[in-house]
Amino acid sequence: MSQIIQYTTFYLGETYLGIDVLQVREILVRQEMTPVPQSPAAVLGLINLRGQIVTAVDLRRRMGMPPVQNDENSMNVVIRTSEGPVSLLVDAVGDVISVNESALEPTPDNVSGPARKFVSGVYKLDGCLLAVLDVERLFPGEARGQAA
Amino acid sequence: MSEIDEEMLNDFLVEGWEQIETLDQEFVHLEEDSEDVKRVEGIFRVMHTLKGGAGFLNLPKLESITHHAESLLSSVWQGELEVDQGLIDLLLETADMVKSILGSLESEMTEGTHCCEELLERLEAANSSAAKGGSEHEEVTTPEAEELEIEEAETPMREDTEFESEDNQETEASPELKEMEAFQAQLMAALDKPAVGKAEESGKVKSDSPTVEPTARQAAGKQIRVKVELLDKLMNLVGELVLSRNQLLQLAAAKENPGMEVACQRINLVTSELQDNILQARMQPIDTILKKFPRLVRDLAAQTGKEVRLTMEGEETGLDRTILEAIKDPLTHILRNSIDHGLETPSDRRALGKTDHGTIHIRAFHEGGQVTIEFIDDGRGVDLARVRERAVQRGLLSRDEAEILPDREVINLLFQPGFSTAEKITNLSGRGVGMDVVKTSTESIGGTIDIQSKAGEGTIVRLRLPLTLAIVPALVVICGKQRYAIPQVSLQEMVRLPSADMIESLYGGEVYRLRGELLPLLRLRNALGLDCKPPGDEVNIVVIRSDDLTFGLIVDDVLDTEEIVVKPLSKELKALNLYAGATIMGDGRIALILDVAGLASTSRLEVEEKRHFRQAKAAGQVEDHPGQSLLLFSLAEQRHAIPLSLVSRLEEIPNSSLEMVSGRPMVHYRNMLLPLLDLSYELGQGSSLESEMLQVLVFRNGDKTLGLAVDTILDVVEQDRPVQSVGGMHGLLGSTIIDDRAVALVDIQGIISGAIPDWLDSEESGPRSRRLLIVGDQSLHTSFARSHLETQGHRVFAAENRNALSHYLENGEFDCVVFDLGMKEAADLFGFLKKGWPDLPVVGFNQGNASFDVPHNVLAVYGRTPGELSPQIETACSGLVMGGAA
Repeated sequence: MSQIIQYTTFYLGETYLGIDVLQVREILVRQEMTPVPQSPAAVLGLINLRGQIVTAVDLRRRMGMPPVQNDENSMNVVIRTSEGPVSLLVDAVGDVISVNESALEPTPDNVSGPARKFVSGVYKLDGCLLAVLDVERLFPGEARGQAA
Repeated sequence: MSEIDEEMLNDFLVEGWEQIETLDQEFVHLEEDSEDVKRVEGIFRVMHTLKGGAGFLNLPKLESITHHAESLLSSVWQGELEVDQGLIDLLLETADMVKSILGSLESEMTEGTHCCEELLERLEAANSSAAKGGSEHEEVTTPEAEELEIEEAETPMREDTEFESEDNQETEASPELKEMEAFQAQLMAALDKPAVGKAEESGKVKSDSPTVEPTARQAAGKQIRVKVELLDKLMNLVGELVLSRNQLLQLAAAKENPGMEVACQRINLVTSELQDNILQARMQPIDTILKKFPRLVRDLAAQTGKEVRLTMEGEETGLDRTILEAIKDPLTHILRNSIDHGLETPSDRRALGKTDHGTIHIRAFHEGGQVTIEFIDDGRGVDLARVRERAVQRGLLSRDEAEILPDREVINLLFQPGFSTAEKITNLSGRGVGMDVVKTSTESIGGTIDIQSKAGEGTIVRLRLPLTLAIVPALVVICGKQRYAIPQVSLQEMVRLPSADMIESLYGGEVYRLRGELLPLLRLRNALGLDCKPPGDEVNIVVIRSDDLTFGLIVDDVLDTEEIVVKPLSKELKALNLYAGATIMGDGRIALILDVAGLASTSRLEVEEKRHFRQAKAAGQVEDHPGQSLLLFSLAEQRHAIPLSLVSRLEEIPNSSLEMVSGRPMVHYRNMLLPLLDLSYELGQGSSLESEMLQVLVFRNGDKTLGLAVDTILDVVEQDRPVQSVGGMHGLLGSTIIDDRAVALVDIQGIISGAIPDWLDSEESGPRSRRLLIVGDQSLHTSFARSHLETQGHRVFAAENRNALSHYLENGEFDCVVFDLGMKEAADLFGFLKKGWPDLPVVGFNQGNASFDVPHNVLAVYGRTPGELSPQIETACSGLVMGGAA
């Protein structure tokens, strides 16, 4: 049985990534952030999202990619996690696309580094590949915090 | 069970739990006062309601159990059955069974597979025994009754209660069964009359517990149930409103519009009131926890064979439900501890002239915006000697440390993880949480806990808790470009210094003299790793007290105190141990809330302070000796000191006589070569060997001499202030204040033995390990002698008083006793020693200040300094023991 899944897509450099649309809460332009001293490098700061405090994470860093020079245009993809909302900073946001779940292919074996951990599979689209991010896997630090 | 309307079942469960929980309490009260028929009525109503609900929802097991219990209760009410232990036990068992059925209903929507036939039988038997009356009683030996007899034999504590085995089930008169049923019907009719709706009925039942005032009963009908999530949501919204109000107030202040200002003030008032009311709505009486206690006490008392009377006060005191949730286990544990460790057995109590039954009084009350909960028992109190003993056994303290630790701190040892003074582990203690967990969970919600105890008279465990967690007053400070909030609870005071010159530093650790006490300082910008310069000359110190540690936090600026709404941080950030949460300020920006305890421990303040303080104390070098002479000298512009008595001479030696012999500096001194230690170098502070005239402190150990080069010898002073630690610095014992300036105390022994490992050893040290007992007070000489003897490979024990002396001598064999003839009570102790152990070799030592006439047959050595004395003592000991053996 195949199912249609919708993905919110975005770009990190040339990489085309997607997150299940049901896990995305909203998309925002760059927000004012309060830095958190001594925090992990990937944590950019805290955003006041209508009274709720949301941690903003630099997705580039978390994926082990170099930071961009000019991040003025970066966007916040606010996702729902079991720990509450988290904002992922991405370079640009794409469309919401629908794909057939059965078309998901495992991550190619030669993909290494942090991406290997976070990408749960790949869709072959016309002219490009869409890597699907596993949101829960993105925050391994949180699980550690829990154990502490 | 066929289809059950889920919603109805849920309603039934909510109500059922509420009611069954009141039952435990009722039963126990009933046990205490079996005449109180009113209580029977209350219990009867609960059973009846449950039965009604069970019948309606088609729950046969529950129905039959409650039905039987109901019949039994009505017999009691009519006086056909007397209330006794057996009956109460049976009823409690019934209540437990009802609970487990409710539990199954909750989790799996069925009555579960609980085996209740046996219980039913016993209920029935009890019932019929009541119905049949006394004449037939002998034939009705219920299984319950048999069980009871056994139980009684096992728990001697019950001997003196009115319980008299199954004979009590006997009833004097036996009215007809029909009569009873008629009565029951009558009772139910009475019950059904006011029952207009389900809610009202439940309210009625609840309010019918006889402890409640009659006026309160009517009020109960006006209550409605509200979902907790709704309250939480409201709470959040009010939090938002508070923030918006703060924002509005700032804007209004900027615009000069009188009308606007008035409106804002009004909003301000309304918001505050709304906030208070919502907080109120979230409050639950502490009774929700306490009402489980009578049953718990009863069970624990039975298990431990103790008699316990529990009284409670202030059960209506309200607390935020999150806090209630957090303290449930800690409170239970404290109670358990009181019964298990605190109270004595009836026989012990009688021997002490106390009443047989111990009393535990639980008191809850509001005080200064906090809630205080006290557990007061009249038990044996904390046995401080045993706590000390246990601390030594567990290796938390050395024996010497334990002896001098103040009682207050000894009590605090109870909060050490895994600490227990119980002689044997019972199934009561060590179940789940220990006192350390109690402390941690109390502190995690911003509360405090302390124990007061008087030996033989009892213990008070006191918890102080905040009313709510969501909104806390906090001080807002600035550091770097950001604002940070410091919860008011940990604030002590604020100090503003006009210039940074008033801060002194010792090896990177900064201190400020706050009214004569050294206050360790922590720069927030350093702790947070912020890379920027402080703005001006002014220094703002926020004095913070957290977990027995007081320190000053240096911030860039101090703003105002504000009520802040605490918002949680993600786990990733919480794990940093620096922030307790975050809040949104009036301008909509976020400020982090500092976790002061975490801050201190992250900066290693806490650990070092405590550890080092202990070390300095245990070394006994200066702490307990006010009035000791110190030699003051400077190293790298900083003032240092060592006890003068350690030094045998002070010398000035021209630099020209300095030579390097196999990499070690030496000087010509009195026709020999004096090895030199460069103290500045040893402490990592440059070198003291560069000046024209070297300033040298000469130490002597037997024939060996050693020079210590310092920058400038300053003075000899009397030290009268206590020594404080400034953090773990190599080569330092701590610091003190002399002439209003901070002075570092150098750990001279540590430095010497670190640089020249064998220097402190005596020449003729050989493989002769002896067991030696040093008798002396905590003087420098004793400590020095002890460590000297230990470095010689001897096993050395120290006794300070008669108790310790006899303890050691009775429990161990010693080769020799080393006796400080100059100590207080020396004559007394010496007499005691000679009387009890006349053959034990004794070496006496003193500085020529023996406080009594030393018998001629005792080998006594004299020396002016510990450095001179110690080798002599060692030689004397070896000589004596060898001679004795030969």
